[in-house]
Amino acid sequence: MYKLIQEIFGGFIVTLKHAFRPRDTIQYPEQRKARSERFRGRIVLTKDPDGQERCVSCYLCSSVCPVDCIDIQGTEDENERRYPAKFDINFSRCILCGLCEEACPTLAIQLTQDYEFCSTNREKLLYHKEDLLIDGTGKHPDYSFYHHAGVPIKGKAIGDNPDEQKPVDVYTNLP
Amino acid sequence: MGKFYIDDQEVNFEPGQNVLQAALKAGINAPYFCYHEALGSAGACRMCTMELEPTKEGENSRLVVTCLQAAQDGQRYRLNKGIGDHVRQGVVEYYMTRHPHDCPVCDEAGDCQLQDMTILSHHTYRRFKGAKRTYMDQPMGPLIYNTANRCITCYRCTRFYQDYALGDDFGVYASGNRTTFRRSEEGHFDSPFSGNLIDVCPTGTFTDKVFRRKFSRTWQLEKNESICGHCSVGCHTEPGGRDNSLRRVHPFPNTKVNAHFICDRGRFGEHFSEANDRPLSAQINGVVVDNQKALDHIKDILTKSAGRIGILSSPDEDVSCHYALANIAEHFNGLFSPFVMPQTEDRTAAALALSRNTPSLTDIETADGAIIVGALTETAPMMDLAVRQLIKAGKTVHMLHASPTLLADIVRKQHPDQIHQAAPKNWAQIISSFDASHEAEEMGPNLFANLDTGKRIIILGVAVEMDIASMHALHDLCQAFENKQLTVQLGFALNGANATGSAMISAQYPSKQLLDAVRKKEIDTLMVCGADPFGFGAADWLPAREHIKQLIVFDNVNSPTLQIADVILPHATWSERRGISINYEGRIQGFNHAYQRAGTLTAVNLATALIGISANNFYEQQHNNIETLTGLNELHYNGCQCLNLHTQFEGRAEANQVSIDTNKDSVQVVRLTWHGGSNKASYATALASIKPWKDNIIYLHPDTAKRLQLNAETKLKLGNPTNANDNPINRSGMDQAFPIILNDNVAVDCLALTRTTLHHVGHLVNAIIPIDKLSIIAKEG
Ligand code: SF4
Ligand code: SF4
Ligand code: FES
Repeated sequence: MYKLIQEIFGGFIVTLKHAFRPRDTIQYPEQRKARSERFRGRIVLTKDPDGQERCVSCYLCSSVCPVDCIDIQGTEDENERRYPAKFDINFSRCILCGLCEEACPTLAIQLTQDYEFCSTNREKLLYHKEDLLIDGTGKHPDYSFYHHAGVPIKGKAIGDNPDEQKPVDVYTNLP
Repeated sequence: MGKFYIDDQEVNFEPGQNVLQAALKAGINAPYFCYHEALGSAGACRMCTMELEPTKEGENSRLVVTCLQAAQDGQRYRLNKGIGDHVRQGVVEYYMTRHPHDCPVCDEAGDCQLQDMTILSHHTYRRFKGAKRTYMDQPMGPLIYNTANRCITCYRCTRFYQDYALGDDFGVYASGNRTTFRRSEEGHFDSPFSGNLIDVCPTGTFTDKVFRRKFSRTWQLEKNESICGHCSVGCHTEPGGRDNSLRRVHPFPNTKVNAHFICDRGRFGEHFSEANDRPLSAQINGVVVDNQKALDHIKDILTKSAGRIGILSSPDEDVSCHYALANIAEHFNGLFSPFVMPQTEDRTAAALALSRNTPSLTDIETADGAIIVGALTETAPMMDLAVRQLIKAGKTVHMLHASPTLLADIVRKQHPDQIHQAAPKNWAQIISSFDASHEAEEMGPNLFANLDTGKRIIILGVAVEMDIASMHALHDLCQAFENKQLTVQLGFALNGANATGSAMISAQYPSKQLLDAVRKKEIDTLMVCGADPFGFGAADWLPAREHIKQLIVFDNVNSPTLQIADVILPHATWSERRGISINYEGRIQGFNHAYQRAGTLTAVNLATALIGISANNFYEQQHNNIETLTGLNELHYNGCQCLNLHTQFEGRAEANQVSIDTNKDSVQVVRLTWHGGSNKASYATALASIKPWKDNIIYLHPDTAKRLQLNAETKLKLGNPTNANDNPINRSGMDQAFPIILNDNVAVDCLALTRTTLHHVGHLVNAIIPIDKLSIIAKEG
């Protein structure tokens, strides 16, 4: 008998205690939680400081993606600068693991703080390049792949990088 | 045969092998850069260094460059255990001090030996802080892209290009730390084998420029072993496709046909499947419809005109395709032929019947001498590469040709006396005068007088350029050599990748029967697959066009015939379908699709749709057919079986011996072609852009010009072509006069014309034109 009463009131007390505790639930969407700096949300493609597309379509992100949700077709412009002709991310598959960002040698693909992009229509979750590409450098304001790699692009000839010598004259044997 | 040890693992070797070679054969992951199975060792990279354990007490271990070290019994090497690893790490670190670090934009990445070796040697960070040495990239034409900074000076490229393929427009420049590899001047390569630089270079210095704009990493490509459909050698290739399109073609190494390489026609010519004007949807009278609708429509037509149907295939299509179409023809009581022109059929069959102990590419490479008749490079480039190995080894190669050919240029440079230039009409006579018995003094070439008995010589002819009499002359020449106790192998380069398979089938379905029926207006509906009867070089067909009420074209190139078709069906290419091809040796080679292209059909699909035979039944029936036809039981399609050409084509060398007109007062038309000029490859845009010859020009020898009194101020008109029935032929170019270009490498009394020009004038290859039919016209202005 005593045991029964103790159990009933014991439970009641716990409930009462919780009623006066500070709340964990927040009033989303009016209230929002602060996210960590490393939060991994919706993916964007960024541009380099000169305003050029960073992605060189090296396919590393699509290769590393564990759910295979990135589909790229690379090509190049008349100055032989590589860019993706097609860059699709299927967000209904993406698990926001961030491996693509880690693999990207040009720092083009970045995960942002945004997580509010659900939809009732799967097709709307297939993001194309125009949905992904933003006008800015994202988390890395200064990096430009072409300033480090030894390939020429418009405005930067072979030998122009700070760590490069001027091209060799191949038609002389003088030292 | 002996054995040595690497890290305690036993490695067996053959005498003459070096340590690296034996280790690689044994499947050991031994690092190397400059060694190459076909090109041998150079000792240029030091990447293959291993530590050799001392044999005697008191000795020290030492570092050995294993690609230069002959394998010896009982030796013990340390690969991963000794200090070799440290040395190799240093080697890679040194190469990486000036590497441009551009893997993300490099097409080699993922398929790159430098990447593999860097990882294998555990090199990670570039410690050297100095500036990188750089080179300007050299523009190398539409096929190959150069990024000179990626080079690690392993010398594989020049060893292939100069030493193996005997090219002289590419080599090594500068010296010491500034060494670089490039062409003597900007522009595309002259060699028909330049594409192999992409594969032999262990880095991304040479990459595929055609692949570049539609690039994909190697692991994303759908690949499969396939057979090249661009000449009768039938090299093994590995096309890679993605998203319904062909991206690139690599050789598929095998020991039976092409051990390591392929030619540029096979590599870049296969991109005909990506031509913008390739038919990729069915059309009825110019209106695009879906395939099913077109097939229903065709079924309707065929049912209505049953008994008055002809189906024409071509030696560029495989055996399965022929059989499927032949089945359809028989079902509707029609006629089938795998050849457009009886002349081609006869020459192909005769060449096969006269082949003796047909040499494989390896046989050619290892022979002791060769006689080549015709433009071999331009017909079967890989046979030419095999002959180049003979030339390199200092063996005697004699050549008889009428139109310019790259192989003759190479022979001419070293031994001008071994080149015999003459019009094809005189070939039979010249070949018979070749002095095999070494007795007659007339027509001097005392062929192979210095070869000892028991040596082996190779004779190769180009079937489409030869008349049957000259093939017989070659055959007789074999006999003469054999009487001298020499071994002789005679083979022919044929026109069309599956020419042998087509000739095998044509015994049952002769082209003459179909052509006669068409001429006699017995055919209402003509279905054409892969052939071009109303286009290039088939003058006999043209007058028949008007009797044909329905022209159905099933093809994968936008040929002149396709342009005038009533119904069009899109055909899959060899890389996109399954089939069987038989090469010039009679080697039966099956292939399967590397990737698939939505919307295209195969001939087997057609048979299923039109006559209701299921694919499984079809393949079973085909298997039985081939077994009966060839007499081979336990038929395999993996290329290990050859037809017995002699029995298979018995009696077909006699057919239609054309009497040869060796009349001095005539000139002969010869085909002017190049390695990218085959039927399908000429639709590949990038390759076609480096075609060396101009259309609508007549190339001739200065002596011929003098004889015909032609000069830069005059043009030449060829007049009416006469065909077998003397039917009038209406060709746009008939009344046209063509300017001339002098070329020393065209034989005297020959007029060399490109495919397109031949098509315009309506003349057949090797047509003989009496001089009085030619007219010379002064250039206006
Ligand atoms: S990893 Fe970066 S550069 Fe490479 S394809 Fe992806 S986004 Fe582009
Ligand atoms: S270009 Fe390539 S093949 Fe030639 S030496 Fe350099 S790394 Fe070797
Ligand atoms: S592979 Fe032995 S030195 Fe290059």
